Amino acid sequence: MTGPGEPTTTAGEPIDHPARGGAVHIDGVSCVFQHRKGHLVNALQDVSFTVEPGELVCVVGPSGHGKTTLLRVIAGLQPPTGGKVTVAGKEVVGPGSDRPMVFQQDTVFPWMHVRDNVEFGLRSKGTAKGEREKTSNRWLAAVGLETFADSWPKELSGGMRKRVALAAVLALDANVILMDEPFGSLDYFTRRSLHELLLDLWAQTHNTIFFVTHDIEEALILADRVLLIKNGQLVDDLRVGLPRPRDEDVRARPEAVELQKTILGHLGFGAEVADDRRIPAEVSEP
Amino acid sequence: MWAVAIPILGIALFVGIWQALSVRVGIYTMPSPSIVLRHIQDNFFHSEYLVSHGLSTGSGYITHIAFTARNVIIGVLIGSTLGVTLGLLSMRSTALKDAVTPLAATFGAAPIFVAAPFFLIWFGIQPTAQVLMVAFYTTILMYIFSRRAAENLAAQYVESALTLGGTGGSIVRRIYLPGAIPEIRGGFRVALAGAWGLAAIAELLGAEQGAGFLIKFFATAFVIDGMFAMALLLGIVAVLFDRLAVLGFSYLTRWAEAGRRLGL
Amino acid sequence: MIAPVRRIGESMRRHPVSWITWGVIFIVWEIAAHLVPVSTVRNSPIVPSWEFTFTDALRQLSGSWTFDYWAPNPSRGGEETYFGAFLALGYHSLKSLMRLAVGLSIGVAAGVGSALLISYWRFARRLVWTPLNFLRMVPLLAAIPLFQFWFGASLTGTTVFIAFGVWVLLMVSTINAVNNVQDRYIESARTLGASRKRTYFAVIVPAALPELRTSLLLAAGLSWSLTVGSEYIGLPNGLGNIMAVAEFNTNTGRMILIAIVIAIYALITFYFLDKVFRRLVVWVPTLGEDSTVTRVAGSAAIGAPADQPISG
Repeated sequence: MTGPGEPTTTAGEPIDHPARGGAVHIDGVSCVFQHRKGHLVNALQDVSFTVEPGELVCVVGPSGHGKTTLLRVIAGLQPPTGGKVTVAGKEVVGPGSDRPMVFQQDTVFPWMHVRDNVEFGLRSKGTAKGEREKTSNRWLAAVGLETFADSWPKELSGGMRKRVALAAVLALDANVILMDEPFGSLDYFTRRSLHELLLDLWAQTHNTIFFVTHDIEEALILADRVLLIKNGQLVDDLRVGLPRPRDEDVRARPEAVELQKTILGHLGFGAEVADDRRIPAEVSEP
Repeated sequence: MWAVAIPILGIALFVGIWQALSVRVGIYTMPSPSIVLRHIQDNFFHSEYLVSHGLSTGSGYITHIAFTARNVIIGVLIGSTLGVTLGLLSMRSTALKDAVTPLAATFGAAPIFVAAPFFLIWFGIQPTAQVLMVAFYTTILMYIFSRRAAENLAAQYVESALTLGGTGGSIVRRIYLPGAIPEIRGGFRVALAGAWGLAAIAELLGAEQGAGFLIKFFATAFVIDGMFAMALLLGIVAVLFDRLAVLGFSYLTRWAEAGRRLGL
Repeated sequence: MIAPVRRIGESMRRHPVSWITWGVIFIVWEIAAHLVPVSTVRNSPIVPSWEFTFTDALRQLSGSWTFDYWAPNPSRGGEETYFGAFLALGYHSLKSLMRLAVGLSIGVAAGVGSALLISYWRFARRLVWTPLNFLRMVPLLAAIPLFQFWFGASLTGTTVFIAFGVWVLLMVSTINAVNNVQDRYIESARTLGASRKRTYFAVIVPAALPELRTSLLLAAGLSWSLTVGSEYIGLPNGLGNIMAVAEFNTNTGRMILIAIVIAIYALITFYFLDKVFRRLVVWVPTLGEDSTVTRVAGSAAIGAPADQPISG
């Protein structure tokens, strides 16, 4: 396996990533919910796409339009009402440690020490104690929390708890990682530092990452590819060819601005929005 | 300083009202606090009254309180273990939930005086009937409480555990159980507080020792001081055990954010 | 007539295990009734069979009909009749229900009223908290003999007893509910210019009310327990008294009948009270998610506030 201990190749072009694991096929997935009042809601309508191994895909769209449902279907937390998801040739029938997820909410278990949180998945797998400790040490160091191994989560800040959640997911060395607006509840600066951390680690691990966000800036910083979801449908599939690292200068390039305009255009906002990068309130996630 | 002074003032007020009432209605109807205290003092470790009335078991009140305490502790331990286990397992098994919930609701609605006679007929030997009665109601209460606690546990913890590869058993043991403890705490204290009454009633109806038995014994002989003393002792012991439970749970929930204390 | 049938059908389809469980209990009970050694006394099987319970045992209930009109009076050598059994059941139910209703109403009114009055002053609230909590911990059921010594076996005595128990319970939970009202509501009201008095009655009291739901149901459970308890121990009538007489004769069939009747009454009381309460606080968004009945189960026996952080 690859880990953060190995020589770091600072994130370069997405093409350079060595493939690991198999592709993820989303094949005609639909998800219909019955509302309490009786009427039906199409959370997802016949969504199909394929993600190649090692891609970092951002799923972008307004809240309530199906992004999270898509991710939950891939996670196996939500059975689709139509179509299927296959990961490396195997159909998804339920949640499993081959597709761990970082949630929007704080899911670090407050009743476990930080180390036990990182080891949770390994313990479920039945990994031996020594091996477990080695792995958790490595990932705690990778997210910069080695001195907090024996702390309670309540003693950590929100950003630090997100690092714990990240370490817990990465410790499983899964081919596919799901992230549902993981940094949405953090302040801007913490979010930016976590972007850097995520990209650093990803450059070493090359997992396939699904990253749901409503923040276009975040998508431009992270993504190899952006999937646009609107009204439960896949409306566009964009390659992000920008060089990494995607600092302010890169994101100010004409092609980046063009990309942003395209995304906003799909979501129904005029070109003028692109300049001040403001997303009207009704689109932003609560 | 006020934090200590006000409760003490409150207790003084309570004792004062008690004293005033006893003066008003007469000490033979309501013994004054000092009379009851002296009664306890005279009979706590060794009671001439009990010995002279030929009670073979227990020569002082303490033996009887200890008997009740033992029934309460054993009953509550059995009941809460069973109730919490059933309650949490039922979170992962609809069949178990469907089987147990209606039973818990129905039997839980039956007052102790309705269930007690059956326990006495079926398990008439003391202290089996007494312990089982406490265990029975504690099980029901803890089943309901632990289920509610687990239901109130944020869904994302369970989902997160699932995506990290957790399975049925480990989710009950490592997510539901620790996560539900803060809310189970309240239920446990309710069950424990109620258990003293249950045990006392169970003794009152069919045992030859214990606090409840003594209350009946005093009632038939119109020893009003004794009845008051036993009620007071039961209350004090219940408060002491409640404090112990609070201590135990504060260790079990040391990971939790300091919640809103009752800052009256 | 059709709607309940359809609802039962729906429930059987959705929760088959529940119905199977009841069925299994029913059948196992019956098998046990036929397996356990039958005592020499005809009327006191250790486990009464259902056919015994709903025929002989039911008819024997007429033994509690102690009047000379409408049905024969078995205590004066009259015949045991089913009609007499139902008359007895009705009469004693009425007695119990009356004690319960009066005691519970007085207790609720006194408990909530006095707590709301006292809660107006923070100092008073803190002053009564410790002794009240102690009173709450005293096992009231064990004090039944004491109350009967004071008031005798009368309606007044029972009513005072029930009301006292309910008063303590509701006083503690009301004070607690007032104390739990979020500061932001109070601060908001104050910044809007409300006086202290107006803030208390227009904001704090309504905000505290929803928390009383569980306590109210628990008070109902407690009052059933106290009613049956005082009837069992000393009163000459009421369902608890029939229970005591049946137990004295080890007539298990009659005991199970009364047990079923009381459990049904208790469930109906919870249901009815909850309906009334929801009317009172319709504006609360989250009421009614979970079933009333399961929330209060176990309370009948114990009668302690479930949502009670007690103190500390």
